[in-house]
Amino acid sequence: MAVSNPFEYEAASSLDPERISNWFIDDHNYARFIKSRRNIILDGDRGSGKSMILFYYALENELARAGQNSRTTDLTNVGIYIPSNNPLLQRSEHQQELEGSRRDIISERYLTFTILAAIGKALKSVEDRLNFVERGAVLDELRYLMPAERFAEIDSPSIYISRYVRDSLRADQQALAEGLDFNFSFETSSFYLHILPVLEAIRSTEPFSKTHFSLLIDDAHMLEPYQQRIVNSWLGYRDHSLFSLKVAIAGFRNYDLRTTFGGNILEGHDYTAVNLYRPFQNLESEYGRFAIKVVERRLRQAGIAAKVQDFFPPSPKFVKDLETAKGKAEALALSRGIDPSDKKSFNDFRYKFGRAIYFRDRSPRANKPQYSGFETISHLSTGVIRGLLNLCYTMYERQLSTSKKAPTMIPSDIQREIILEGSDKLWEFVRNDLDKTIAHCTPDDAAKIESLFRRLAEYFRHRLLNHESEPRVLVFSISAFDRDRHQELLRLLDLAEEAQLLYVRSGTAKSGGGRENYYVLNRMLFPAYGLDVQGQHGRASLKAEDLLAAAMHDRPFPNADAVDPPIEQGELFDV
Amino acid sequence: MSRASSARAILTMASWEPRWRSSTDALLAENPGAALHILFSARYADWTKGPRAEVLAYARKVGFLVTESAVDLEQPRTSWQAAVDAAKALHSTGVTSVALDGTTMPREMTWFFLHVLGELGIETDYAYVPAGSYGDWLSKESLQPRLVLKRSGIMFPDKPTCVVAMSGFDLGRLNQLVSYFEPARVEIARQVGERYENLGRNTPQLSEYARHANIFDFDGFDLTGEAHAVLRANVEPLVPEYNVLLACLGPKLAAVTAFEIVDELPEVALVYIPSSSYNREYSKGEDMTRRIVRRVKRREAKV
Repeated sequence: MAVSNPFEYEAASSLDPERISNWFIDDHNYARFIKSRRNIILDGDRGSGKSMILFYYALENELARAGQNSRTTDLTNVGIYIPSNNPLLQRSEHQQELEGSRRDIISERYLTFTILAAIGKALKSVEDRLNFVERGAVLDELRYLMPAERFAEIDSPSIYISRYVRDSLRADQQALAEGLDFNFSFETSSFYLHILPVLEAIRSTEPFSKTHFSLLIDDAHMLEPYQQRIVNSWLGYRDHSLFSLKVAIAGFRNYDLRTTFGGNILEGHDYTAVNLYRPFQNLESEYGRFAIKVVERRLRQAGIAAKVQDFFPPSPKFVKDLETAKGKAEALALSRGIDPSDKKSFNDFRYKFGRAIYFRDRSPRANKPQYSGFETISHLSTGVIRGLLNLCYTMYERQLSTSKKAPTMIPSDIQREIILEGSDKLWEFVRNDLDKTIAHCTPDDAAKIESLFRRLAEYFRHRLLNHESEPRVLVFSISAFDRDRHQELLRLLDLAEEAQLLYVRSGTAKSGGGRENYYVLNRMLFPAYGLDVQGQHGRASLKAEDLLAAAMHDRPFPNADAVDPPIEQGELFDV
Repeated sequence: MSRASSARAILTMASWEPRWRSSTDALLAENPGAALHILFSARYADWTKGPRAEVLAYARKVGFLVTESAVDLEQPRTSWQAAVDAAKALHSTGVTSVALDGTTMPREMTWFFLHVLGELGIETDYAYVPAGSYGDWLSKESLQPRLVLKRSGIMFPDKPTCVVAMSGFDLGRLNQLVSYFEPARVEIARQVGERYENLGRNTPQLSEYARHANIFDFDGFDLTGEAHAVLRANVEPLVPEYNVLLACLGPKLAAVTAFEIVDELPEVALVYIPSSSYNREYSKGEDMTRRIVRRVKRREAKV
């Protein structure tokens, strides 16, 4: 019998309710937000689980989880899942040809119909709770709002919505495909003309009389600019008694917060921002605990009772060598006059230097370190759950093909093999495929990004082997930055972020208070350079000019031994 | 444009590749008296200046009525209009059939012409000349994938997405497509045969997709109708359940097959991944022994 890999991962919208239910780790913090009547913008990297959260709280999945009790499922908060990556929303004829209001009408019509279709789909799963009279009342309203004589015989509101949407879109798109010009005009469909009244009609029935509708708009960054502004305008709608919006985006930095009225939406005023960037400095950190839960759930589903850390054990030699190195770090601390009774200083030194000494003591001719153990895997995912599952999946497959039977654990040498292969592959991608894969990345850009990342890896390696006080710093912030002179640097970093080679976070500034951006490299880049994938608290401060010189002229970073200015206070997300 | 001396015309896209000249020469020889319209990329006008001058001089010398127009290939709307203008101009002079030289014409431009010529009721033969040998890459700096104007299918928001990709050597393009649309289903038409070291270059890369995608064999160079039948057999059953996006990342000839499928199944959308950077040294010579001229299945005349 074929063994199925417990770490299979797919886009949430492709999963059936059973898998969603089996795999989802219910974080009650998210439930609190998603089930609230507030407008929420959920911010997270690709692969961080945004879709899974929204999808989990969609009505269809709530009902599937309730199983036989679905008829009595509470309807006080109904989640309606609305994906934004549907190709309908990627059509571009109207943007190519039309200007101003005609283009905007079509844009809004597509978005409105996308949401209407989602409402119809959600309603279908609970429609049997409406009695004959209630169905009739909703249908009357639908026929008024969306008249279509050909559907006179339809007695199901959800089917009416679905047919109306499909018929309208079919006619629209057939018209678009014909002829040689783009001189088309569509009827207006909008939130206020169609969505709001439909939700009101549904809520006028007894089973939905207390319902609050959460419109769960996934991947809103995929919407075209005008559609983003429409969503923002809806976020500005203050009356949340009937509905609220939960909007998932991949980063605020590139998301347009303007409305169609020319204003902006404001955090705290129009929406609450919830970010999914979890700190991942160790297995006790928020991400570390989450990662254990995700993998543990998968193991249990596959009938594997082992603890996560036992299923992905570290190499015994690595553990032993690390302990030896930590002992050396203690001795070094003593030699530097750090008093062991000052536990904080002593442990801090041991924490910073134990692992660094392990890497420093390795012969330059030695093979790459024994990258293994769940903590290492967790760090390599750089806080992105899809990256974690990808590694686990590949290791499981390799062990399965090696041992020809369902694995009960993944030996450390297999883990190391997969980690090093994955790291080499990522560098291969950086060297050869960036410009083929990332939109707007020229071959020249790709070469600059490759130079920059190679120099960064060399810089961090130099620090690891030589730095006197902060050897394991793995993230950097940019100093001496001038927006006009260093625009090119930001553009290259944006492209690298798009390629998920880099993650941009915001933290307490190193000087002068306030906040600043800092940059976290995808940890999968590190093993190929023999770097430690576990960082320490702190950030390297790199000058914009030096970063640019590394990118443009392949110049190594100067002053890798320099002491970084301190971060003013502990930063939760520093790694 | 004055009335052409015959109802036949040649439409071609100028290139710096030697095979463009060879392909044009062959078409001129086969279509005496036809009107010749040469499009050229405005951005790469300098690269094509020399070859264009040679073709113009020769064609005029042997009595062809020649016209030229520049096109901005980065903007689909302007390249669309260039196709409309060129085809309408020919149509207005009484042209009823066209030899469309796809040798160095981007797929999107080819699709535009196939649509426009079909709408005008102009019969179309597609011509293609492969290079003698190819370099590592033709184009880089790919932009975001886009649905092709007028061929964007009929998409419904309550259907999942399926990408059907005719694969080529460049897995990055396929990855980009999948990453952009996040389809619920991926179907890959894998090029068969050993031409251009296909088995060594294409098949191993696709193994990465083995776990996610259904992979079926397909011959993009086929002229017997077999490839058309295979593709249609794999695409048509998907239509009721999925928004189907058809991408042609392999042999150019397969772009014509893709167009015919979309013509027959208008619910299906063509997808194109544009590039804005080209390799001047991409190809060497031409392989006239593998030159192809094939009739494109005609649409009903609309005009």
